[in-house]
Amino acid sequence: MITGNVFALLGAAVAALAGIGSAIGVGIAGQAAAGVLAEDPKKFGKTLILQALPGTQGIYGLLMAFLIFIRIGLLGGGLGNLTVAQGLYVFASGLPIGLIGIWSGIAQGKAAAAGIMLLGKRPDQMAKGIIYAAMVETYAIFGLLISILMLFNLGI
Amino acid sequence: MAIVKMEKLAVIGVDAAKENLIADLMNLGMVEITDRTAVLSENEKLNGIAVQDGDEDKVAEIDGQIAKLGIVLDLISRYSKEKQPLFVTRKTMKRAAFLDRISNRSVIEANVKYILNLNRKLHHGRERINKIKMEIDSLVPWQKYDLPLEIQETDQVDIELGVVPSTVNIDGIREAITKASDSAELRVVNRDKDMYYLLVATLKEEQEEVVSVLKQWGYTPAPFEEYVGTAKENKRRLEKEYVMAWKAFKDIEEQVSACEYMRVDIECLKDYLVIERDREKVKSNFLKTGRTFNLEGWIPSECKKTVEGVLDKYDCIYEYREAGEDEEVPVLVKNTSFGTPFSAITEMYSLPDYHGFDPTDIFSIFYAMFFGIMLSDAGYGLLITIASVFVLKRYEIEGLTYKMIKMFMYCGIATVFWGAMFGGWFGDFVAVFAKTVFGSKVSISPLWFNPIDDPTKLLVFSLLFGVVHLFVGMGINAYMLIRRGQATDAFLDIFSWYMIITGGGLWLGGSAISQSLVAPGKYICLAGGIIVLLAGGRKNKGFGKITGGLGSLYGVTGYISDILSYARLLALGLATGVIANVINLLGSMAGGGIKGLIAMLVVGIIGHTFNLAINALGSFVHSSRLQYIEFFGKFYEDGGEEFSPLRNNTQYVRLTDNNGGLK
Repeated sequence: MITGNVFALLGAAVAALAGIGSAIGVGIAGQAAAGVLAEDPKKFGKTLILQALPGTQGIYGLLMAFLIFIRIGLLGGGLGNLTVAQGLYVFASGLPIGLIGIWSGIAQGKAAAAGIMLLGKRPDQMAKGIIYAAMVETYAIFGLLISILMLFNLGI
Repeated sequence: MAIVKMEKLAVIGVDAAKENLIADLMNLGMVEITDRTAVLSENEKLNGIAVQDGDEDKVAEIDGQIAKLGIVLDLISRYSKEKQPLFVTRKTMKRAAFLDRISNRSVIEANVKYILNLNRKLHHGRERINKIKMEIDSLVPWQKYDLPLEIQETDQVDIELGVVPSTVNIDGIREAITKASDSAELRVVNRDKDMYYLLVATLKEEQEEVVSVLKQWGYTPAPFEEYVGTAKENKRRLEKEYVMAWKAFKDIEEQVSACEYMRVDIECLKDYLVIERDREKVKSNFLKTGRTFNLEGWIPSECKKTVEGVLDKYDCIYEYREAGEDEEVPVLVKNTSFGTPFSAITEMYSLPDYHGFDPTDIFSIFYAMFFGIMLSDAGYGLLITIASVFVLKRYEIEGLTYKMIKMFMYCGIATVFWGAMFGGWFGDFVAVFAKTVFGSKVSISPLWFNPIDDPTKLLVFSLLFGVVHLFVGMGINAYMLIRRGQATDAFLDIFSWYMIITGGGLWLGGSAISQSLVAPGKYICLAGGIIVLLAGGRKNKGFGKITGGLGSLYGVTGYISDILSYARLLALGLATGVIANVINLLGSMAGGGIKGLIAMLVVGIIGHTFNLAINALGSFVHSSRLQYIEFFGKFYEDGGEEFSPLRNNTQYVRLTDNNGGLK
């Protein structure tokens, strides 16, 4: 029999999918970073900072998944008995960060890659490259925010 | 005023005093020399009286020497066996000691020549090693061929060695050769993924014909003209040579790294030459007549007294003038001791325009506060603070790096504060640790509240902090408008929005405090809205007067998105806290007792290091973003050129007995 717990766990799984975006994004930025490094190996630290930026979506997804675990008591050992409706509520709360995370992670990866190219040519302008990439992250943060607010105001 | 007031200084003096004056101005580091020569083309009366000063050949010559020293220093540091310090700092030195170091210039220059010579030897050595390696590689496929390589013919027979691409059909070649000559013999000595290695024996009179057939198949003769003995013997000999060459190369490397002791002297000489070059170079901005010179430059008003002392010493004539309205004036910012480190953030964006406003002192408090809320863990804050203090004590860092580290120190302190408010000390490490290892219940309760229990509350406060931050930014805009005599604009465009946002906030959320706030909020908000609607199009013409107002009112979406942007304070704060808790939870899964203790510590050290790194980066980036986009967006006029006075621009040595300029 399908209980609400199934849907709740599905919600956590969907939230963790944000990691897809981060993986692709970090990968894109990493390729660009390697290209810049070929010219000037001293820029490793700086390119690493830019490469790490699209990684946050995955962390937000992980964060949301854990928040759901805590909320439904999975980690405490005693998984509660959620009704189907409650389970679907939790499922819904996992959607925003899961979906936004995927696409914003990829987009941020591209912006970060462009920032890395900028760093290659004009190292003094690095801060602006970081800010361009961080602009994309805003929407992942909004997604996380909606997810958190949904989960915490469910009354489970 | 955080942007230092500048004045233009014009000086005329006699030629005899010029060199000493330049040297003294350099030690002061208070005047930015500007190009005076433009006046030559503007004012024809000067023709024949004044010409551009300076000696470009001499500058180029010194530049050449500096470049050479640069190569030498690079070489020394590449082969140096001394451990590179974490931060490269300038050595402090008294002027006398500095000059003493380079007093023996001929010795230093001989050393430089010696190292350049070693550099040349290194090049040759590397070339030689590569050449031997290539030769060995070319011999490897021929190892099975056991005739001496110098035997290329007998009385009747010619022996050809060569390669064809491995893609060709070898039987096809064989057939073609047999067709060309009955007696020709083809053997495949070796084959790899690129080539067939062939031996072709022919009668001498048929040799040409056979080779021309082979050429059609892409045949290339193997170049073994200079070898004596078999391929195997040659390879063995070359391998020995390779080892020798490599040893010789290492020897030279050793010799270079033994030059470490010369480094400081060479660095001093390079700095000395840079000073000399700059002294020569700056003259090309001067005008000169037969016996006098004329220079112009920007000088911070507060430095006038000091510079006048020098100018008087050399009997110069000088005058000042105020900066013109649309003149490009270099920007020097001066901040409070708390604000100064945060000017790194302003510099990274772009310096303010001279006629603009430097907000560093104001946003520094917000910056540290936002950083603290986003990192929100007292344990992490302590680590950052301790690390920053350690670095500041240990190294004599200057410039941007110094500012950044000092800034992180303040941000770390702010993080400790907010971490304590939210009850995060490496997440819930203390509680989990006590429970897992000792089975007891201990926990550090937050001074305010834990955002994981009530995220909505922190969301509301995040947005409130954001509104305050934005209001300050808008206030600066209003201040600048009023200072420029546009008080009406300030009222209509900025105070109206204060009314809308404050009123709107009370209207929507005032009931949480008191029901009586809602109605006044509504009227304040509407009144502000009407002002914007009516005044928004006042500078447009005709129909634009109406649509302009609507357009301005539409700006409300901009304000809403700006305010919502501060929700990141909550999101990033929660991210740190929850992930820290997860790390502790993972650590506690190994069970109790001594095993649990070790597991918690190991998992904790790795996990918390990762969490600290990624979230400190996030806090830094997003705290900067809130300044750049939301705060600066309200008022900031950027694009100022940095004030760069004539000074001793040394790279390795910091001369302690001149004040080294203003920075």
